[in-house]
Amino acid sequence: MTAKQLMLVARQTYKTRIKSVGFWSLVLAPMLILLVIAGISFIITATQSHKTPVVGVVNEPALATYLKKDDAFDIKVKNVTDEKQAKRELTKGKLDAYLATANQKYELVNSADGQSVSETKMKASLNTYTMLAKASAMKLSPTELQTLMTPPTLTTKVQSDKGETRGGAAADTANYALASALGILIFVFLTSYVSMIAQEIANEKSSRIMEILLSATSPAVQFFGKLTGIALLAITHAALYVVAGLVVNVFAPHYKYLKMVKSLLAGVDMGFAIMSLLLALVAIFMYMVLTAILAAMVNDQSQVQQAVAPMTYVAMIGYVLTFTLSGQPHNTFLNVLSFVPFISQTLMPARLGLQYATMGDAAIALVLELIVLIFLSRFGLRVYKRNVLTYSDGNITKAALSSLKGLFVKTKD
Amino acid sequence: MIELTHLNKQFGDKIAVQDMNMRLNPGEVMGLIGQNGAGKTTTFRMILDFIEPTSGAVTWDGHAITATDKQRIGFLPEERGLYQKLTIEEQVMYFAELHGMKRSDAKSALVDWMKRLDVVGKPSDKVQKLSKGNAQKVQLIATVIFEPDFLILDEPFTGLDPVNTELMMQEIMRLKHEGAMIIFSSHNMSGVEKLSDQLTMLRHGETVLHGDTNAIRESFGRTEIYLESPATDAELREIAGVKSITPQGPGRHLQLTDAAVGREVFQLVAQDGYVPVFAQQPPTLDEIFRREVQGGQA
Repeated sequence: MTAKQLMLVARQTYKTRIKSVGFWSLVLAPMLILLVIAGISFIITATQSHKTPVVGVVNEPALATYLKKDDAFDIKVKNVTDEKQAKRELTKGKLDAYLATANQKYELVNSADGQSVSETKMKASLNTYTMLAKASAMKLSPTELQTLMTPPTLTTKVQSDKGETRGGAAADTANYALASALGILIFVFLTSYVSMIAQEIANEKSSRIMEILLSATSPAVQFFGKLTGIALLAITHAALYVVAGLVVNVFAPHYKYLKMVKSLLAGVDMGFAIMSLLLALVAIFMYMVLTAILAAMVNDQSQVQQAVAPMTYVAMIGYVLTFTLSGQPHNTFLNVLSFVPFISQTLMPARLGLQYATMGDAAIALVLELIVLIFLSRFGLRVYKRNVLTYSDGNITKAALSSLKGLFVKTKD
Repeated sequence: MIELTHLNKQFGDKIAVQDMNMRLNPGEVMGLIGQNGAGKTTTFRMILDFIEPTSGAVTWDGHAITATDKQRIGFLPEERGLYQKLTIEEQVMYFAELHGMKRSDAKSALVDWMKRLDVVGKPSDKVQKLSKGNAQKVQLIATVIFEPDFLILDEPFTGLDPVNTELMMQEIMRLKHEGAMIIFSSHNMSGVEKLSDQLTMLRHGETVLHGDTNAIRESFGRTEIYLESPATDAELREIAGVKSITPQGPGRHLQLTDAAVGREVFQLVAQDGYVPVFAQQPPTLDEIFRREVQGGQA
């Protein structure tokens, strides 16, 4: 295998794919989806008939003045002398709700067809108002009042047999959220790149270009060259998203989705993030190698989906199982599966995020993935060489089974 | 020198190639003929290391073909394949670079080749826009642009019109004169006869004829006569040893049981001192092929 030829094959695969509409559709699809969602929310906001609700305050001028001054509560406040008048105005639609007081108890009456008034915000405003009124009655100084109103600080830590982590439940949630997000990301990447590599090989095999390529190079050069090219493409894809994120960070630092992602990432434990990414990366390579082996058995483009489908199903198993994980720290079946290569890339980070597994467990899962990757690359090349120029009579399951038989028969690279 | 020694290939119970031996020196052309399924493509696949021989060896200057040697092999497969979405230039550059040619050299060579083979279009044209004939020429350019030392052509004339067949033959001859070793398979017997120094005829994987093309023909004896003469069929049939008389173009084709009979035929047709056409030849490759391959099946 010559390094120069390997790089040529990788470069050709990369160059051809990066210029294709398919790749850019794949890159732009999530951004377009975000744009469409943003556009739809903008249209909904622009066209909705929401107006600031008008709330009548029955015979409580001080409360009415307080509510008017509360910036956090977007309502128009109107003084009403008695409840009869309030009911009349509510019926006529002049008020959307009214607030009545009796024996230190408040009652908020909403109109069925009026603008809605947030009950939570009303409760919060009334709380503060009542506290201020009580403080004033007790003649408390502003400093005393400040002290009274400062909430206690609570720092959480989780002590389990998997070790102690800072940040407690908040960090666990962030880790788990990242694990789930990674699950989706891995699944999308896998399905896209797995079918890309399958098409690449099937196209060259079915159009007989493979014969010309193999007359100048070796199957190993083709096998690893193509994998390198597609892997570089996947890395470019990920890098484009990072660059897009950085651009948004510089030019629109207050963009709400960016803030959301930043706040989520802020809670993530660095060790966890690195381990999860490594598990994902090795898994993607593993799937690619397996796909290259299967794609070599394909006779023409129409069989690509048949070859790729099992990959997708296996990737889906790991992804779906992450949802069943919560609340089951001792489930033996899930625990074992989280070490199994092809599934561990989503299940292990999720378990790690939930504190059901240690970094040591994750490291074992990673080593198992690496072993499988090396095995697949080494033995898969034999299967690839055996099949890439063999045209069976249509049934790739048969081809796969006969290839398994010859898996351990050594051939020249 | 390329040498195939006692090469055998079996697929299960089926013998694809049986005890094949051949030697090809620089500047020599070997024609491989045989019916479909005779083992021609299997032989090429073994030479190219696509499949492993059951037994026997393929060597280049006495050693097994290495990765570096492979870069000096040009291969034109029977079923042509090009990347439809690439331009002619991208396509040819890629194949040329895989064979170790510098990109800049390949770029200028491509322009020359396109002119020489009269390819309609520019290097920047996409392959999918090319006509079938032009695509075949591009395929040939991709095979030979790096001036291979060893050229394998599997049915190179299939699908070509007579003009393009002639162009292709000229290029094969040019490469031969430059010292390339060339092995090719074809059903075009006149092409094989014209190009080949040596010939190997296969039947069900077995070599039925092998050697110098002219010597093979001569070994069958000069038993064929093409004749243009006023002598009648009845007069000709009276000569013992005239096996058959068949009209052929403006004249007749006579088949003899023995080359010596030709002298009697000549005496008859030239008795008044003049005969427009009398050509006594060995059987053509086409006839030998039919006799050996089809006769062998009977």
